[in-house]
Amino acid sequence: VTAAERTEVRRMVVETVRSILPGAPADLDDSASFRDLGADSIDRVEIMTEVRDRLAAERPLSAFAELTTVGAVVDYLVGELA
Amino acid sequence: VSARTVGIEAVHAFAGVAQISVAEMFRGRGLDQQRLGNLDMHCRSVQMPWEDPVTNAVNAARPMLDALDGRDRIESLIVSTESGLDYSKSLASMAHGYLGLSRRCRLLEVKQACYGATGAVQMAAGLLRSAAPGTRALVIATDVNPMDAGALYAEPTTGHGAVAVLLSDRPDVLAVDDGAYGLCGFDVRDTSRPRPDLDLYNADLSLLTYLECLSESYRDYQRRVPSSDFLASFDHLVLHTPFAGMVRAAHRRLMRELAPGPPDAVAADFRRRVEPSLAYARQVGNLCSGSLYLALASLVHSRPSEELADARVGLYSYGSGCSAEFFSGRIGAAARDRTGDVERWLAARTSLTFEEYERQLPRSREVLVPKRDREVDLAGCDRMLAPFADRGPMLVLESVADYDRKYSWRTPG
Repeated sequence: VTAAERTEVRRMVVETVRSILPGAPADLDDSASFRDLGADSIDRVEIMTEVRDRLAAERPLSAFAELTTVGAVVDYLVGELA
Repeated sequence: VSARTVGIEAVHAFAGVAQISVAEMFRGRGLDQQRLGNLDMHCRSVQMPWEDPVTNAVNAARPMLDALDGRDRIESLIVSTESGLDYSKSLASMAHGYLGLSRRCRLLEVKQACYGATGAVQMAAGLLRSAAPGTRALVIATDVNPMDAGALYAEPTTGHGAVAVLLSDRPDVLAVDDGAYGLCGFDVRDTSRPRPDLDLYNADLSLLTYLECLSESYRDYQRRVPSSDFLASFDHLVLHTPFAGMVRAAHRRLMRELAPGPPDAVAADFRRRVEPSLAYARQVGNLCSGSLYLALASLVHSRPSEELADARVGLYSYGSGCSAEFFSGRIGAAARDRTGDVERWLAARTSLTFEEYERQLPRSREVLVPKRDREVDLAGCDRMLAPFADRGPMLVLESVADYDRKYSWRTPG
């Protein structure tokens, strides 16, 4: 996976987070946790399902439950591309 | 040879004698009010100390059986619960006598979190297809939810009560489509109850697994019923309702996958096909495996019977742990008459303040924990039963003596 691909995945994840949590800043840090950003369980479900759909990821939805930060989701999705 | 049509003849829900508003719970627990919107609930039922899974089961089923001609044709009693009271003796055996059922009857308790009742309904339907005409089976989903402040945002969503589901070859409520089902089950630890008074709940894992199983069980359904189409085949959808907001998210998710469209169209489809099933859940909370059948009752009471007769319904049951099933059926012409006056009994519940709720919570939780001898606190019992006088006698837990739970009938009013 190239740096450019990771950047692209990250851009997509941040865009998704901000569409569901309009208050989230544009310069989201990798360590930003969804809970700290004010996401409740439904928001987190929406974030996970949307990024998974947008990347057409194969891994089961339930596997996304342990991903609690922006960086963790990006790494997980990038791992699938590899 | 075509199989005999079987299905649900009657449904009767009982959601306790007390409730608390969800906004009041948020206030009392200091929860973030902004999260109220995504829960999409008004109030939830609350267990009182004299209520347990046996009283709930009996109090749900008795009015239905009293109105029934031929309860001796009930040859199976299956009680679904995740609030069992004994490792060996089933809740079915505890409820059987109080319901005046025949001794020519199978007694069984089943457990698979919020899926249990649907597994029981399918087992009962299978039994009925090979039984003599007129044979009946009674499935009762009954639960109490021992959550407290430690459950955070799950505590305001948790419900209390039971739903009795009578099955026969006279499906006045729902004729179950023969062979039309889709399954998904595997080992996941999203929810568990390692002690009678302790629920462990991983919200993110549970909600994502619910959605994963919804997609997968629907695809399995489609494989078995190739002619089915998510938009065209189902006039209504009834989904397991941990809280109404989750069902909204599930519908959105399934639409994105199976019938993508603009947000307005998705929202309109939700209002038309799904929302009618949520009215009671918004007032009760999660009834565990009974929640799907409470949702079915909510749907059939949402509009005149003639509009709903013969409508095809897609039903989705999800039980943590996990086992899930998508199945379907057609609404019967007498569905409304055979599903009780749920609204009336929900309105009869006593409204608790948060302080009253907090006071009774430890006393209600402790009656779920096995103890050799116990006296039950009946303070307020007669006052809270009084609005239910027209239902007839209500079963109450009075004490435990040498591990034997002692119940009595009380005639309110």
